[in-house]
Amino acid sequence: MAEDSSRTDFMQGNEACVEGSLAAGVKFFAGYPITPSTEVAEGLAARLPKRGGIFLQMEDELACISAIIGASWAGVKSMTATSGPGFSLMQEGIGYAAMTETPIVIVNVMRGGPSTGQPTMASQADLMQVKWGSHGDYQVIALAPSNVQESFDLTVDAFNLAEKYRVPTILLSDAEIAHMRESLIIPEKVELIERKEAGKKGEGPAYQIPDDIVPPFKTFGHGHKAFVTGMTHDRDGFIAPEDMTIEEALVRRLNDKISKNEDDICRVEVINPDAKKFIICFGSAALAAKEIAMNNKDVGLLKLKTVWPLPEKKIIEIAEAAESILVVEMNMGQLVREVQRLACGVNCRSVRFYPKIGGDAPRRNEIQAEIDRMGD
Amino acid sequence: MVDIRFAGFGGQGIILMGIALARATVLYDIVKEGDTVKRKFAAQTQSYGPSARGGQSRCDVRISESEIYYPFIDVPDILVVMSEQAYRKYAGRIEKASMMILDSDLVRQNPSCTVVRIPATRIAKEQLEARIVANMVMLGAVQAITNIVSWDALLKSTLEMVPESTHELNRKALDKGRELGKEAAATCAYGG
Repeated sequence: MAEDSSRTDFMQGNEACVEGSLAAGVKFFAGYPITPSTEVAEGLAARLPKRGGIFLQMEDELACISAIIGASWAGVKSMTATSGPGFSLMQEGIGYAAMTETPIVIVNVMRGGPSTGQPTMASQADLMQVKWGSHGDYQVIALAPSNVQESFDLTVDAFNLAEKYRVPTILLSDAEIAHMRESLIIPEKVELIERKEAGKKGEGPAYQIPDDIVPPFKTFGHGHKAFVTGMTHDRDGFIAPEDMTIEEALVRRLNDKISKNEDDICRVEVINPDAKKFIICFGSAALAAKEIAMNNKDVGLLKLKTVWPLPEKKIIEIAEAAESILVVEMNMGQLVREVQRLACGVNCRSVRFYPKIGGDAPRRNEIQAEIDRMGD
Repeated sequence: MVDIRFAGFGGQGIILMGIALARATVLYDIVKEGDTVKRKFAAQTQSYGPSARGGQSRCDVRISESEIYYPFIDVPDILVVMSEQAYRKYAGRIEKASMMILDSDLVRQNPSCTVVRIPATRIAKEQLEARIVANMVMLGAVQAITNIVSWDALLKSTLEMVPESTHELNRKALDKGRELGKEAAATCAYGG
């Protein structure tokens, strides 16, 4: 391992998320402690104030999401961290952030549910909630780490994508990834994207996106009239709840700015691309799957690092070439239906499903047994 | 690849043992070749309940020369157990482990594999007057018996993880464990 100016450390996924958020330039965190996400708040409570940032422990998760939306409009990168019960409470705010195009990062460390469920155990049952949790037609970006290094890298990416597309972005971790410890390489410098600000001529990637796709951000106190409303609004922010043309244009743009930029937003890892048997999964379900694919060239792996928007092109490409697909996830069937929908369109012969429920990530022998049944 | 599992009850510091060991191998058991630093890889996972004390606690560590993709352990090479209940929960079905290191006063089992018994809790209580460092006595013994981590690396890693006011106590506990481990290793045939 070459080590130039980067730094090697040994830590858990949640701690790597803290490092990633600091590297990305987070300046405001509002949180409410909840297992298995608490180490994110704990780490930032210790570190953020020393860097001139603000850490607030709020009275509940509704307050957390509202506080980080407010901080973002004051012009700083803001974040919160929670788990299922808290994430449910944040849904109203997430819809508001989507409608007002507010760049924020929400860390959701998934645990077993429903309701209070299993505080210390993992699940992946919030996958659909991340996309559909609030009412109305909107899209978010969600990134799912499957190891400690990705917990760092994807936290940085989450901030960059939130800023670039002015969208609430979710780091979708789980109890296994959050609490496992591995070595982490922290680069001396990371590539950062800053939001496009009204009246400024910037050079960054956000300024290259046309204003009719992502409008410039009007930071409070920076001299522009900033109108922020969850009600249907025109390009200047004035409410227009009965104007069908404005509603249609707004809803289409909120969706298109994400789905039409799939190539830029979607991150995947592919192992053994020519294999006829393929596993599709994400997060801690990918631990055993990767071990198997790394040791058997006949088994391919498509690991989704971006789960929303769904990397549809990549899934279709795999479904066209593979003879059978195995979807592994820690829920009763959420990703598998998306894969079935896409595979159906290209006549993929078989989409099998291995749901792992109970709190443990799928083990090597369990997935191997499913692989052995594939193609029967 | 070496797989080691620590098991006991909540409050004994079982997870801290695993973290200190894994961290030591990654950060401090390094080989410098010119400008490049060759490091080992380690992965640490755990299982514990929502309560702060009581209940069973388990900590798994994998150590390897190459990158680890899969952090879970099927059958540990080395199993360190510090309570009877944890033995029943985590050790009963894995008699295939090459070696078990047991707290001699807290685990009264006779597995068929190589067994080393260390009176970690008794020594911590009687000689160091601090039962809280039983885990450190055990960790020092594990180092001496298995050599899966160097002494210097383990000491540095551990002391960095505990409050400075407790450094002397923790160092004494590790030292005592190392002594016990060396004695025990001399009478057992574990080849590492």
